[in-house]
Amino acid sequence: VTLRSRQAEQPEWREPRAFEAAPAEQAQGTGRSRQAEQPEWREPRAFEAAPAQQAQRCRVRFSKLGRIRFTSHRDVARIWERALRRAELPIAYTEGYSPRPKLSFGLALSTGYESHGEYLDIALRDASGDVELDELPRRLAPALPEGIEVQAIVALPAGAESLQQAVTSCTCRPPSRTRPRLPWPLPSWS
Amino acid sequence: MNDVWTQLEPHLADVEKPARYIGLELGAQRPAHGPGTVSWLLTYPDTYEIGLPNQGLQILYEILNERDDAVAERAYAPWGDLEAVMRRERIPLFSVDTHRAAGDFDVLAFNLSAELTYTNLLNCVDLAGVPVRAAERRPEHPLVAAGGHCTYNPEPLADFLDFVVVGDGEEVVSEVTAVLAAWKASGRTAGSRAAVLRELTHLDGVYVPSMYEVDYDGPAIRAIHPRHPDVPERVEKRTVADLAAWPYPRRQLVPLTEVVHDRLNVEVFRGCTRGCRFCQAGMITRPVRERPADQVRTMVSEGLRRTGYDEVALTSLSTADFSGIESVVQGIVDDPSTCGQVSVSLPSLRVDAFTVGIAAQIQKARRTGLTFAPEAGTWRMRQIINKLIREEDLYGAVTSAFSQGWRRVKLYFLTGLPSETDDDTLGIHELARNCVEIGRTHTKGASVKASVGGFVPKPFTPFQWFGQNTVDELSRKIGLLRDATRRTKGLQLTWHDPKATLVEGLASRGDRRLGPVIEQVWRRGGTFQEWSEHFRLDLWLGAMADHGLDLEWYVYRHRTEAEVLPWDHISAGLHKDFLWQDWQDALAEVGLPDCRWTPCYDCGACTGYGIEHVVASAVAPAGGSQGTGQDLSTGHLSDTSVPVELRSLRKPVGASR
Repeated sequence: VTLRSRQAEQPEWREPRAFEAAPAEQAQGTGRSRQAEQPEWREPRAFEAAPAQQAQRCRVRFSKLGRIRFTSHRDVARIWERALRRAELPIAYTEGYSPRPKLSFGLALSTGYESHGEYLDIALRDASGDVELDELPRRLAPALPEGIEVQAIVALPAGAESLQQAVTSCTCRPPSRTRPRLPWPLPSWS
Repeated sequence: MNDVWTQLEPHLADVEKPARYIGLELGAQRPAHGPGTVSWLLTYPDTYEIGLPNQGLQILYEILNERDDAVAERAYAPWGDLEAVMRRERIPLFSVDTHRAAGDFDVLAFNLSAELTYTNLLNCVDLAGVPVRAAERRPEHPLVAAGGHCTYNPEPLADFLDFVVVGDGEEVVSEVTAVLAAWKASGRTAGSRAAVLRELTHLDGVYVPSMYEVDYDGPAIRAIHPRHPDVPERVEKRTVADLAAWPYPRRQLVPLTEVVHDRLNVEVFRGCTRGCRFCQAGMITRPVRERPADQVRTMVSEGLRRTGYDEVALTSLSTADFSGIESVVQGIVDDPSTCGQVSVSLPSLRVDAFTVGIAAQIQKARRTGLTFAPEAGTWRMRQIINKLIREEDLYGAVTSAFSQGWRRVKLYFLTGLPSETDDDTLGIHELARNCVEIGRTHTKGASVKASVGGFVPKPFTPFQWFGQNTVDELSRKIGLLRDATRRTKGLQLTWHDPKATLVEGLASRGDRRLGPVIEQVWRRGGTFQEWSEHFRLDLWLGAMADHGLDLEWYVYRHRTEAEVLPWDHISAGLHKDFLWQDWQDALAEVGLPDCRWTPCYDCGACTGYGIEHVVASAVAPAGGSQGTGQDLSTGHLSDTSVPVELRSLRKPVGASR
C-alpha cells in the first residue's frame, strides 16, 4: 500500500514531545538500548517463517474530549478497531490463531481524563491499493464516536521509532471538580 | 427537562466502569420529546454489560423511534457504587441516551428475562422517584410496564406493574402507543390512569394485573377473574407470524465498552418445536418462524459493514436447524469483502456430527472449545425430558470435535429433573468421562467441562406441575457428582448454586402473594440477586416467614391436574390438556418427535392463532431432529434393548376440545 499526500507539508502535525525521559528508559533496558548493547540479537526463527509484511504505517493524532473520556484505554483500542473496519481501511492483521489488527497506542490515558493529543500507529496491508492520506480524517470522522476526533495523520517512514519509544512525556492539568473539562485551546500546549 | 448529566458528571470518575453511564453508542438516538409523543424508557433491570445486548429492547427501541407518536430511550440498573452516589446526591435514574430523568418519561418499560432481577426492577422504579406499588402511583407518574419471557407468569410482580405485554412485542408496542398518545393528549387527568389501563386490556397480549381479582381457598387459588365485564378472562400472547416483515434491529447498538455477546446478532428464526419438556422458551415461542435466508445474508453483510464487528452470531433456539444453514454460513465465511476476518458463532449447537461439521467450517482458527447440551446423563432421563440425543450422537459429535482439532468440550446438564435417580445423576459423570476418554485418543490435553444446573420448573411447560428438588437434594446430587469427578483426570465440574435455584423456583411459579416478599427483600438491600456475591438467601427466607408463606408449598410441592395455576389467566396458546398429557408421557418415559416435519399434535400454538410454521426446508435436517429422520432404537449404547416408543398423532387437527 502506498500512502499519498497532495500536501507538500503537513503544518498541523506536531512531533510527540522530545526525548526527555530517556535516562529512565535506558535504565529499564528498552529496545533501543538493548540493540546497542547486543548487536547480534536476532529474532527467533518462527517469526521469520512468514513472509515479512511490508506494512505501511501511519501515525494518527486524535483528541478524546467530553463524555467519551469515561471510556478506558482498552475501550479506545476496541473503538478504533471497529472504526477502521467501518471506514473500510485495509488494516494489517497479526498472523497466527487469533489475528488482531496491527494497531499500537502510546501511553495509556487514565479513564476519566480528556486529551488533546493521543497517538495511534496503524499498519496497513500491502497490495491493497493506494490510500489517500489527506482524505483519511474525513473518512474516519463518521466512523468514530462523538468526542474522538482525528487531528492529523502522517505516513511513517520505514524504521521510524515506535510510539512507545517516541512518546516520553506529556503535559497534564490536574482534574478539577468545579471545571471538569480542559479549556480549549489548551494554553500550555507547546 | 431535568438534565441529569450535569449532576452526574462530577461523580463518574469515582465509580467503577463509568462508561456504562455515558451512552454515545453507535446506533444510539437522541429523540426529540414533545407533547404529542409518548416517551418510553426501555430499561433492563441489570447492569449495562448484561442489558445493552438485549435484542428485545433494541428491536422496540428502533420501532418506537421510527414512529411519529413515540420516542424511546434506554436505561440500565446502576451498580451499587453509583446507586449510593445517586441516593446521596438525589440524582434520579436516567436514560443513557440524553440523560433525561426517568420520571419524565410516560412509560418505564422493563425487560424481564430472569427471575432474580425482580428486586432490581423495584429498585429502578424507586430510583426513578416513582412509588414502587402501582396502587400508589398518581397521574404525574409514569406507567410501569414489563415484557419478556418471565412475564408469562407476571403474578409475583402484580403489585408493582401497571401493565404487562405477553409475547412478541413488535406489533403490540405500537398499539399500546396509540392508546397512550390519546391519554397523554387528554392531559393525564386525575382518574384517567385507571381508565387508560382498562382500555389497554382491550389489546391482545396486554395484561393489567390490577384489573383481575384472585380468590383463595386456604393456600390454594380458587379462581382468577376480571374485575370488569369488558376485561378479557384470558390474555393471549402475541405472535409475529412473519419474521421477514420485521428485519430488526436494523441498526444494532455498538457499545463503547465491554458487554456480553459483544458481536453482531442476527436472529435467524424464532420459536422451536423440538419439544424439550424442561424448556420454557421452546414452549412459549411456538411456532417456528424462519427468516428468509436472503434476508439473513443481507442483515449479516450490511450489519458487519455498518458496525465494524468481526463476529456475527446467528441466533435462535437451535440454529443448526435453520433451513440452509450451511450455505448461509459458507456465504459469510467466504464473503470477499470481509477478507476472512469475520468469525461466525452459533450459540445453540445441536449434538451431532453434522453440527460439528458446520462449526469446523466457521472456526478455521481459534479451535479452543465447543459446547453441547445433552442436559441429562442417561437415555431414560433424556426420554423423560424429551431431549432425544442418543449416546452415539454425543460421542460422534465429540469424536468429530476432538479429531478436528478442538481440545476442550463443554457439556451442559440439568439435575433435579422429574423422577431422577442417583443412577441418572451419576450418568452425567459417566457420559462426561467417556467424552474425556474419546478426547484422549485424539489429543493428550483433551479436557471436558461439565456444567450442572439445578432444574427450575417453568410455567407453560409439561413440567409446570413438578415439585422442584429441595436445596438439600440438589446439593446432595452435586456432591455425588463432585465425588465421582474428583477422580477423573481431564474432567472439570462446575455447578449453579442450589440456593439461587430455590429463589428462581419461587419467583418462577409464584403468585401475587409474593409481592410483599419481593418488596421486603428489596427494602433490606437485596438487589443484584443474580450476582452470586450479592445473593442473600437469608433475606428471602426471612421475608417468606414474615409474611407467613410456606416455601415448601410454593417450590417443592407437586401440583395436581385440577389445581388452578397462578398463570391460568395468561395463555401461551398451548392447551393445558396437551401439556398435562405431555407431562404424563414424560413420566411414562415416552418421547415426542419434532412436529416441524411430522403431523401436528395440536398443542394449540398454531391452530389457536391461525398461524403456521414458517420453515423453508420440507425435510428434517441432516442428523435428524428429536426422532424425525433418526433411528432411536438404541439410545443407550450399553443397553440396546431399551424400547423407545414414539407416539404419533394423538388427536386429529381441529378436533374439538
